[in-house]
Amino acid sequence: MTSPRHPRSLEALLALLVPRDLLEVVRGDLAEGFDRIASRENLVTARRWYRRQVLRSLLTPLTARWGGGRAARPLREPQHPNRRPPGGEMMQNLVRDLRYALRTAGRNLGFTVVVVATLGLGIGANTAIFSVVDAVLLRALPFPESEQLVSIWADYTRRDGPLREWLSYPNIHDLRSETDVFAEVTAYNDWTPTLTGLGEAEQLNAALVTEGTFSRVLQVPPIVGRTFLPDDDRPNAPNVVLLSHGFWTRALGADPSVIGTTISLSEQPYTIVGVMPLGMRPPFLANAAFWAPLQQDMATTAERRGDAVLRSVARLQDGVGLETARARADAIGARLEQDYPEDNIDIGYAIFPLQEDMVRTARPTLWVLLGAVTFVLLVACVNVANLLLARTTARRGELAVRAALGAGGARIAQQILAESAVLAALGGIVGTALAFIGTDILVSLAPGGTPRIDMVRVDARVLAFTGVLTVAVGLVFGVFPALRAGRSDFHDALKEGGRGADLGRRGGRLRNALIVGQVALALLLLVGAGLFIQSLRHLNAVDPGFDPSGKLTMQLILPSNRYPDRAATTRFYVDLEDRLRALPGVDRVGSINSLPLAGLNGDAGFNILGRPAPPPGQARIAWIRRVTAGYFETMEISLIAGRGFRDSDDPDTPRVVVINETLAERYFPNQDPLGQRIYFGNPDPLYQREIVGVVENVKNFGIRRESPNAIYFPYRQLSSTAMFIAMETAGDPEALIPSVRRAVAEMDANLAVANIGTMESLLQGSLGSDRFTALLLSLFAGLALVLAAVGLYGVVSYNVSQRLREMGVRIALGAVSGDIHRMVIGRSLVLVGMGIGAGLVGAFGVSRLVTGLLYEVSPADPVTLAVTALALVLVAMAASAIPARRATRLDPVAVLNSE
Amino acid sequence: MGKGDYLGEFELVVLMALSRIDGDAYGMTIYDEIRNATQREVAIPSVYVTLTRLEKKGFVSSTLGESTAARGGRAKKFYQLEPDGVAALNRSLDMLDRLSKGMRTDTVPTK
Repeated sequence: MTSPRHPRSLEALLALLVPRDLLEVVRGDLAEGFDRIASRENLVTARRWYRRQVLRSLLTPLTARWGGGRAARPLREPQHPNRRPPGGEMMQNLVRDLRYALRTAGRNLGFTVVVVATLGLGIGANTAIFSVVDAVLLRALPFPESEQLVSIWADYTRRDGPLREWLSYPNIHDLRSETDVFAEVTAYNDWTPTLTGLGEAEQLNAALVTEGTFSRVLQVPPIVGRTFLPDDDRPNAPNVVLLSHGFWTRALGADPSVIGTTISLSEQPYTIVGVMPLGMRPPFLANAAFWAPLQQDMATTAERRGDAVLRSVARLQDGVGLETARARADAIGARLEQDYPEDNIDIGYAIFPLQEDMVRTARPTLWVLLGAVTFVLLVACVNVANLLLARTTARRGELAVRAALGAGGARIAQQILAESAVLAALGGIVGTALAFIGTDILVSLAPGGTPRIDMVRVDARVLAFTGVLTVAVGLVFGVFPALRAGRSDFHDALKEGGRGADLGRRGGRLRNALIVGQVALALLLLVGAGLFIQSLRHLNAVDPGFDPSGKLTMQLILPSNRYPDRAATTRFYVDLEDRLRALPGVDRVGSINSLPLAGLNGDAGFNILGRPAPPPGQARIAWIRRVTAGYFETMEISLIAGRGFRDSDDPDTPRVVVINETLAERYFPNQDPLGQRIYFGNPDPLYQREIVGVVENVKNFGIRRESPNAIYFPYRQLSSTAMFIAMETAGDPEALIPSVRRAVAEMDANLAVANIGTMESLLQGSLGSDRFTALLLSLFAGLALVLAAVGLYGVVSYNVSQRLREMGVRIALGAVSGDIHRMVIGRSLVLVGMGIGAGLVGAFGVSRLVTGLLYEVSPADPVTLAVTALALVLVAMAASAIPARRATRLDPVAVLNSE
Repeated sequence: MGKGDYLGEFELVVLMALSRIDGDAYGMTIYDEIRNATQREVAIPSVYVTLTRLEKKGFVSSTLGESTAARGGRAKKFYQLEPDGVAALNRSLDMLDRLSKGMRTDTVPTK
């Protein structure tokens, strides 16, 4: 070998370009040339020459092709049936088109970057949203035959109550007996025990479940030990606990030998019987660290059919459908109504596929976001289509040559489509990269409590979606220019010398139509974002009934072994409040057993002295809250009538309550509630309670929900082991956390301080989903607006360039710059006006779908519609102003001479 | 006489280059001839594209030479003009000649 130094990779590349019988000859010539230049000049020049030789062969698509029979190879291959190239004409054309398209993309780098970035953003955003939709909504639950899993609720709709209410143990038990329909029915409840003996005391989320939950409903075996046995689940059976993989790893170092040992939960020993596999999350109370048996049976609960304190999931028998299960449950429900009218009148069962039920809160938001992001992609596609149309026009000289050389319309359309495909593929690659980032951002922004959000990832399924999307996108934006180019009459193009006119008037009309569609889509998105922002504004303006600013809250649960009675718990909380009040920076302290917005349950039926007891099923229900004397002042809940509680409201003084406005208005509409007496069950005067005050309504169940009846009890008369302590602070509430923790530890080192945080963050957290939706929709709408503005700018610029001559004439005839301005902007406003009109019609239709997600905003909110339409008009004027100004600066002589 | 009977521009260039080389016409010499005469860089593979096409039309013929060590042991392919090629060359040159007569330079776009 005389020349081992010329680039081997390029030599290899030649094999793609040159037919085999000539390959050695061509290589020989190139080697000869290389050696000659290398010896006469230098190696660098020789290498450059070689490189250019090969690249130049790549870049001569039109004139230099193998195997043709004419002067220049036409795009349509000559029809020689005997000499058809291997692989078929279609494939050869396709490969050639793609290669050419890649080169075209490389040559027009600016254009390619704009198109690929636009598409990448659209595809990336879609993929990211889809990854969430897929993980949260679409994917089957990770359990065997998961379609057999259902959730069971009590249906209170006939009582004007909720469709999904909790159930009593006996009502669940009666379904469990129907073994031909239900393979197994579980009951479960949350459980927040305090873990001690393993480092600092810690309150953990856990769950109490019936024994068949893992073995027969979820059908997931443990990785170590066993799940629960029927004997574990009997009342007073020895305490056992089944660990999640996460807790086992974090707290016990994933040590398999812990099976059979005990941990201390709420100061009771629990024997560890097993560990569930990594990633096994039950489809309810998914953040449980461990599980223990519920330990209830009919013997202990038969009398408590009205205690709706449990929730339920079940597995249907093989081959049993949802309708069969519902029919059977309806029959059982009807029987229970007859047998136990006191508790069960007008209550039914509601059964839903478990997965659908789990994600029902997230579903509408996610579909809205997926819809919105699809619109963004469509706007992006329109932009790209417009860019391609403009470029097709610019390239019509080239296309005309091809047509003249015998390429048919279909063949040219195919070439344009191949270019679109290459652009779409590049956009898909960029989009995939963006999707990885976008998905992470989405997950971190997602509102707390979004089901299955931890399952979100960009995996093969999501990438498959991206692939399909990319192909669809290529078709959507590629089909317009392809059709246009394919149908064009190139005679005009050739006659006019390759400059000036459009591919026919229809091209202009198509471009205008695309702009109208783009504006309409942008308006839809803007209206959507506007509605959600309005909704969020209204939600933020809602008075929660308390003042969240400067409030620090925490939860404590006293173990019953060391705080066995009312006296002990009362003493503890009274002392604790005094201690906290003495801390520097703490102004007021008060406690309640359930914080506002958190919506913990605790309702009871009550009677009013002197009024007949209501019939079954129409009981007067109120939410019971136990508060200490300082609570209303601390939370700044205003007193409307009467008085709040005093420290003197204790077991030795007459029983008193404070009611909320809703209850006062509903049951004492035209009379003074103060001094009225109510009782719960037992009408004995000893148990009657006098209403001594009325306080304003507090949003206990979230900002959106109306405040139901509420009755407050003075803590000293009705104590609780679990309390939330609220502190009004002078400075930054979070700065007090260490001293608050210390104060608790000084009183009882084995208590876990749980849920410590500010009321502000609790309030903000309760609006997380609304903020998430508003934020993303604003982002999408902003993106669509920018894209639409760019698209409009492009089209107006183009239109101006097409009408230079006309404008030159007008200026020559005395039109002043104002006239030209008005003409250009006026025409673009006509397009925008049509787009807004179409968009408004669409908005009326589409916004109805989001009504359920909005708070006190009509989907036809006139303010939102007016503001968004105005914003679009302003943006359109700005986008048209630049080309308009260019038009006014025309030199009419130059323009008229140039044509 | 159909329109396919006239030569394309590059075909014309290659044929003319071939006619100027005496006996030793293969890839590199044709490349040199074109480059020296036109001051245009051409790709050798493209030259072969055109030569192959011209050979199919019967305008040129080729013979494979011996392997030579100077080219990494690769053979040269020698080309020579055929009578049909000479005729086609003349036809095209005549056409250009006729066309160029009476041509007014001020109709050529100057911009």
